[in-house]
Amino acid sequence: MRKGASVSRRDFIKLSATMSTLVSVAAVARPSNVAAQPNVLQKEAGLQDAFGARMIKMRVNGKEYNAMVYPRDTLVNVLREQLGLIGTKRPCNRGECGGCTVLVNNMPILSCTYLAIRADGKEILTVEGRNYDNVLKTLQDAWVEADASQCGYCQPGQLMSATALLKRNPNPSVDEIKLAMSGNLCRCGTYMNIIEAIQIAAKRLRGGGS
Amino acid sequence: MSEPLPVVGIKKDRYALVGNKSVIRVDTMDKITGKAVYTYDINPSHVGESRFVYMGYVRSPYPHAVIKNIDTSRAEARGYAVVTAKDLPRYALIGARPHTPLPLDRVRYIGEPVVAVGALSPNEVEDAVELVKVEYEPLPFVFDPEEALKPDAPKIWPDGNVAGGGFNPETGPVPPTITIRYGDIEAGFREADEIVETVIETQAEQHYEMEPRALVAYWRAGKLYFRYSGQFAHSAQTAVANYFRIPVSDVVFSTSLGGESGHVLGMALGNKSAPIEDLIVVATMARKTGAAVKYGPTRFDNALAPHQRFPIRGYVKFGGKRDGTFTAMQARLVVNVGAYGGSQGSDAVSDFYHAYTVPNVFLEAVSVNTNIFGFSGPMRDVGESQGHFILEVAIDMLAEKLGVDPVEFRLKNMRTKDKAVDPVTGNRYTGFGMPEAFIGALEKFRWKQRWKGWGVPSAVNGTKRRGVGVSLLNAAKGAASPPITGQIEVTPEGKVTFYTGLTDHGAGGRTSYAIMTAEALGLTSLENVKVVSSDTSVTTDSGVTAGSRSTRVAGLAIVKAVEDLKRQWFPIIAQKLGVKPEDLEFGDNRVYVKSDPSKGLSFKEAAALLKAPIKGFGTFTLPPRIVSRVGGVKFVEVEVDVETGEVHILEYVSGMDIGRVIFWKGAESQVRGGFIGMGMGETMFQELVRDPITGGSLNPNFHDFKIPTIMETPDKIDYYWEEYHDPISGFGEKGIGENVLTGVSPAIANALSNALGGYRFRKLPITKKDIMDAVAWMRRRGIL
Repeated sequence: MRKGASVSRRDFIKLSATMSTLVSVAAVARPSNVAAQPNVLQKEAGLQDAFGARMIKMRVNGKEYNAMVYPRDTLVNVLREQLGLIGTKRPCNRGECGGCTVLVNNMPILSCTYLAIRADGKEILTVEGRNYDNVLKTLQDAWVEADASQCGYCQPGQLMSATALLKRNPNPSVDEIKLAMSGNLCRCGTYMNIIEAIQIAAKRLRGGGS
Repeated sequence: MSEPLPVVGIKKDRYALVGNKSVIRVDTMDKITGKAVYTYDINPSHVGESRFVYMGYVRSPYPHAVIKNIDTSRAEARGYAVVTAKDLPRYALIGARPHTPLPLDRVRYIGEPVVAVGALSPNEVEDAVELVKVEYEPLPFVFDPEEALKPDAPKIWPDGNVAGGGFNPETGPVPPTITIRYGDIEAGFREADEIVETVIETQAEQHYEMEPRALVAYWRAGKLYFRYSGQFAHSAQTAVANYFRIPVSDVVFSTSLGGESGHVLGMALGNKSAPIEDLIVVATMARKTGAAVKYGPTRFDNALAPHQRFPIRGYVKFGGKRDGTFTAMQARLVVNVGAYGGSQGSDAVSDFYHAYTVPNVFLEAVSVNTNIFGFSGPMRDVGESQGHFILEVAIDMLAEKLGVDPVEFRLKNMRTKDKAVDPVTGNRYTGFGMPEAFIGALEKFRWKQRWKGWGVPSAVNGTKRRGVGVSLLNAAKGAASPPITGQIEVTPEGKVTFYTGLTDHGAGGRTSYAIMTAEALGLTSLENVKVVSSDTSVTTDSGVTAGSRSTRVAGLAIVKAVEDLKRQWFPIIAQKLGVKPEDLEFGDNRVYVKSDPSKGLSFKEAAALLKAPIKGFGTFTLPPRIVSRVGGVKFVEVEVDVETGEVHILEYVSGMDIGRVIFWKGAESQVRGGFIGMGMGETMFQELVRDPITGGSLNPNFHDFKIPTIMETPDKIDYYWEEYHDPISGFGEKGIGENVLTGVSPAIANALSNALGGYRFRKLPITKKDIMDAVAWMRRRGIL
């Protein structure tokens, strides 16, 4: 059942996290606490040669990053595991919940189904970009005021969808907000507060209020 | 009624931070800027490692099967690490149905972990899973608890399928069948003018919390360390230590990464609680590989997690008189506790007899093992949602049959202040504001203007019909159950830290703890107050973070810790001021002299008198024969489109016997979120679907397991809080977390019935298909 449902995706991204881990493992000397596992390390060395890595360049939150990625690496894994930008979450890893949403050239995308290699030469915005993007920053402040986050795990994705919305529509109606945010699931049920937070931020960005 | 209980904590007319509407959540900014590190986010560098061994499970594809053979040789030949039942100590069995953490010879639910594999990346884990070969001999399986009770049913356990054991932390071991009987049930039915007999049932559900249940474990210098996304750090520590027979002090559970981000949990609500199987297996993998192991379940893994919301089927027989008197309450609850669950019906049963003061009662609950899932467990309550759905739909049916307004019937029969005692044990409630909460919410909702009669919609506009519904709430919540502990540290710089073994589910616990700590020390801002929670290396056991108890428990620990701080600190300040220590008090960021408030020191000056940090220790023990119940009411107006089956919530008003509100914004957010997220979810969308032929799980993902989206947001949510000072508390607080969910489903179901000509929805979830069934029923009867 499991195989049937996910085989194509598995082939697609099969080694992605392996490779991103490998890059970081290769960068450090063999750690003493894994000496007990020589087999695993040998195997890994073999795999590393089997697939061609490519160096890509991305601007993330205004900063240039070079990352060694493999064809099947997804953007979310590169952000979280290679660049250490864990603000982008991976709640479902199958494009269903919106929790991994980031902006690529101002467009909201699901970074769990977006291959990192496509991000080469592009501009990425994540929740860590608070001091780089004023729309995001204004929304984050409004999020705190409106208590739009409870457990918080879906909220980075919510914020990035909201940022994309206000960038293309500075004065959205409630229905427009709902539609734009409908791909972002929240289990704490914070939707009502999210609508309020977006309204607060939109007003402030239009210059209507401090 | 007996004497009022003595007030334990700090009772004041005016507080600086408690209940202050402008206080914001302390950790939101960290969570929404990537500073907070959830367990699922932990990278090797966060725990001083250069890499992880990632762990995953080979899971059973059958709901019931004999394990014939396990062949791990191919995986091991490729260098993957493997843990099977053979790697675990044989002596140790765990759980209500004693079992090994990985099965030896039999699987009992679909997705049951059989073999754990370890590899250097999550994707290689998937490769390793496929290299392990397990041979099964499938056995007949059973999902329905009543089928499971039949003599020829597949036996999940040698002694049959009636689930034994179980343990209630408040009352001790629970027998498999719970029976509550008082009054004369036969006389009650003889007295009745009308009797309602019906079957009402709830579904199996999964939490689908956004952050899966993650774990990181490693052994260092003989000690076992866990980074844990869970609710029970201290009890997990003891359970794991006992299992491995190592000293408790050699096991460290931490949900905190330290630093400013503190402890964060990507929501729990029960799914990150009891089962310790994963903890044991991950620790074994860490020992075997000599590495730090991360178990970051995929969404699929998490959907098959052992712990699920258990279904209850209720056979109900209620009787009453035409004047609205409730004369007889009889119910038999059949509780489906899954393969490994113990007895579970006690909370649901107690809700029945606590909610109404009906004199003749006969209630039974039997818990049954089936192959539907692994363990029955909490999901924002431990059976109250199910119990309330059965109870409150049946109550509505009885009131309808008697021709009494549903609100009048409830007002006439619900528990009142003069009867605020457990009718079985005689134990008294800590405090009880339910009647006031009911009336307050009733007025806010304007029930009298909206209710048009049984089966008469509150409004009709074309194909859209509106209806109103109500449900009571009376649940065992906010218990001041032992242990209650906590410490407050004050440094010479005036920095304050509250240490608690409790955690924060995401509901706002840390903010509440900070507010109460500051309040008790007379501080008017949270600036210098920090909370360290749920880290067994520095915190002490304060019981489980469950059952809406953490706010009250923290409050009690805080006031007791501050009393201890005063004993250490006030003599030093008194000497400086030339007064007696008992003349001093905290307030307005100062320590002042009570008889002459102009005399005193600022908090900072007083702290500067300390040569080193001091720590106040707080403990509290609940006096005997006291229980905590939270009461309330839920009113809903729905709009149903009889052409499309679309349901829209127009208004929801929650009335709650809340005690003192501590963190106002957070409490308000919970009222909204509890209704929208899990309340509307379990009423209209959520259900674990199993293939009846193969037993397969048909919706182990967010796409097929529907949860509410922002599109379902109601037009209006309001609340009425009956605020008063609960005597057994730090600041009058009771607790809220679970009460925002319990009672939502019957209120919506009753409102839908009102909109749709009195058609009764007796099974959850109520899908669009069910709505259209109701519409067809109405057309057949010529009422549409």
